[in-house]
Amino acid sequence: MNPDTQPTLPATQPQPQLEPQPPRQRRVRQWQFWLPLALQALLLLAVPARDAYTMANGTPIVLQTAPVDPYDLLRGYYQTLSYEISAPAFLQELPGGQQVFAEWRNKTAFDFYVILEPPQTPVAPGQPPQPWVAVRVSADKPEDLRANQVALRGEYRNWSIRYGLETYYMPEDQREEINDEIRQIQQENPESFVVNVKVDDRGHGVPVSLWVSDRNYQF
Amino acid sequence: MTSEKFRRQLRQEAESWWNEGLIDAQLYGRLADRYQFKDIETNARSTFTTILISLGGILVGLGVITFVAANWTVWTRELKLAILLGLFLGVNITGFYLWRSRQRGTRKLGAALLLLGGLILGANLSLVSQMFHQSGNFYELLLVWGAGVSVMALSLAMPALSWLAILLVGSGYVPAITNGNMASDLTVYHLAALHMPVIVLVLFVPLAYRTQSKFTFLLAGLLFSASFIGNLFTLDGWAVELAIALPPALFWAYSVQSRQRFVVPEFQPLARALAVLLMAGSFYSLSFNAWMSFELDSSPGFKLPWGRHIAFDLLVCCALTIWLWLKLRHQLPRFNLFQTRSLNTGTVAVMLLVAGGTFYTHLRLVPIEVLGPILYNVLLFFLAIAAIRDGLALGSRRTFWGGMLLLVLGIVTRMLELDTELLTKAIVFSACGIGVILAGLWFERNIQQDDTPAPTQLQEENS
Repeated sequence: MNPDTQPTLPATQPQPQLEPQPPRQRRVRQWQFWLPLALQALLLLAVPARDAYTMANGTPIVLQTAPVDPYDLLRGYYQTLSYEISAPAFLQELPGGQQVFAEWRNKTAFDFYVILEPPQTPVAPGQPPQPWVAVRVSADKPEDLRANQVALRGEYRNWSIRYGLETYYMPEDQREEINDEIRQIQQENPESFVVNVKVDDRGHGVPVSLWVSDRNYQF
Repeated sequence: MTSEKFRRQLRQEAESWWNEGLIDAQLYGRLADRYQFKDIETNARSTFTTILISLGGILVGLGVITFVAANWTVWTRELKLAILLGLFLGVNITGFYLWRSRQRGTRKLGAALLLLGGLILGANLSLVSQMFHQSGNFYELLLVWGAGVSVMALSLAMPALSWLAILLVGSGYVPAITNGNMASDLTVYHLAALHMPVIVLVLFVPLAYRTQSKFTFLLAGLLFSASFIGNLFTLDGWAVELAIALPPALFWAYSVQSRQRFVVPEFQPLARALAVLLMAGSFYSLSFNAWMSFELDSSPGFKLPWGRHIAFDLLVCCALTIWLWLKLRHQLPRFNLFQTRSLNTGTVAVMLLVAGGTFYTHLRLVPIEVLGPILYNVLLFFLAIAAIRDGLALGSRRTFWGGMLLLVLGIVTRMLELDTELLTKAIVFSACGIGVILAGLWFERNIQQDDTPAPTQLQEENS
């Protein structure tokens, strides 16, 4: 059988080379490097862009919390935070909560807004702040907010609620100490563990610092 | 290009020929010139330095990433960002200009620095994400990072960067599709995972072409099959037969194309190996006597938002596969079932049709709980024996041992699976043994006839 007629055979005869080829020198143009580098730099800007905007222009608010402690391979140790307003049962009790959570109980995913107000009692500077109070829940972005109110956007996914505020990265060397303190505070006086958050006008929040009792941690 | 190994052997042989007086010094000199004997040692040394320098680059990169993860507070985040950004730009720019130089050593150092630059990109991404305490998932970071690295790899045609890119995207894919399977609305990362097969075809396969790297092609092929099969499985059985048949069909059709612009001869053996491995994997995993548990729900789980995306990819991949097979059409008349290779386009087509068809029949027409596994066992053993035979015929050790391994694996699995009386086992073993001996004798007869090749006779013998 003529081997030419067997297309499944690999090309076993390498072409004999008369001259050894010098290593192939590609003519790489400048833009072939600068363009991808610029794109990579753009990625570096795009990843934190929205959070940076919120950090600069957002309204500062304070939320009540509760924690655990995992590790992320690239970004290091962090606290997983959960908030008073992360419990569907709590939100259901608020005005509008029945409507949003009862009607949509069968849906596994929807977004909503929690409207928060600053606490009545003012706090002296340097003292731990009082958490803001959730006043109502809305399915759509509320247009009629009072001047001191803030709407925080929440995501209901598979029977749990996320605000994008659930992670707080902390230094490796202070992790144990802070976690011990948090554990202790959680048992004795859970009210005094709060998180400072900045919220922009579209309801997107970024965690800024932790207040554990009278200490403020910002990393 | 002759292989390093061949040149070494040739040098050894040529030296002994010269010593024995078979060739003279002049001829030896010409051979030495033509096969660059004097470069053999330098090449080995230079490969070693490349490995060392690249390893160094990877370790430094890991150091930088771990530094970010440590979240060291002595420097503020802003200072760290400035330093890491400076490092990112500095390493990349230095790397690029060193890499462009004509000197070999400098070029290598440049390549290692560019690889380091790819790793530092990841460190920077995690730092900016950490700065704002983003609660996004880890896989999102991997996918963004992989996208950034692929752009650079594609533009500079650098193999090492392309491996990094595919590994990053691949390790981002698995958690992304798992997580997406539970999500109800799709983020851009979920979409990337859902369209991974097409992304591989339009991004990573061209990357393999540009870098001319076999390893890139292999990684791309693996990611393609994994994502294609993985995505189909999220649809609870919709078109799941295609997961068995399409990836091997695509790879096989690629591996037997005649030379064309988009076919790289060096990639073809890899594509063939991938096709055979995928077939072996699916034949083995479906050869168990467990077909009664494969049944579709009464309501097939075609989740609309998902299904649309997966169906689109399926369409693209099917079109590509069919087009490649149609290009083989003019070769088909030249095929006959018994060729030098037992694993040829004809047998592969038959095996894939039987495999896909059997599974389709079981799921959608009539349940064949007994016949199904039997057919898959026949396919499995046929594949194993065909590979052993091809390995022997072509002197390919890897094919031979691959087939042998598959055969032994098949037999041992069946023995452990069939929980029957020892007497039955004895009968099964003896029957298998007699079958194998008969097959051996049959091949022996054919090989002897092969010594006096007459195509028409062969065709008659085996039709």
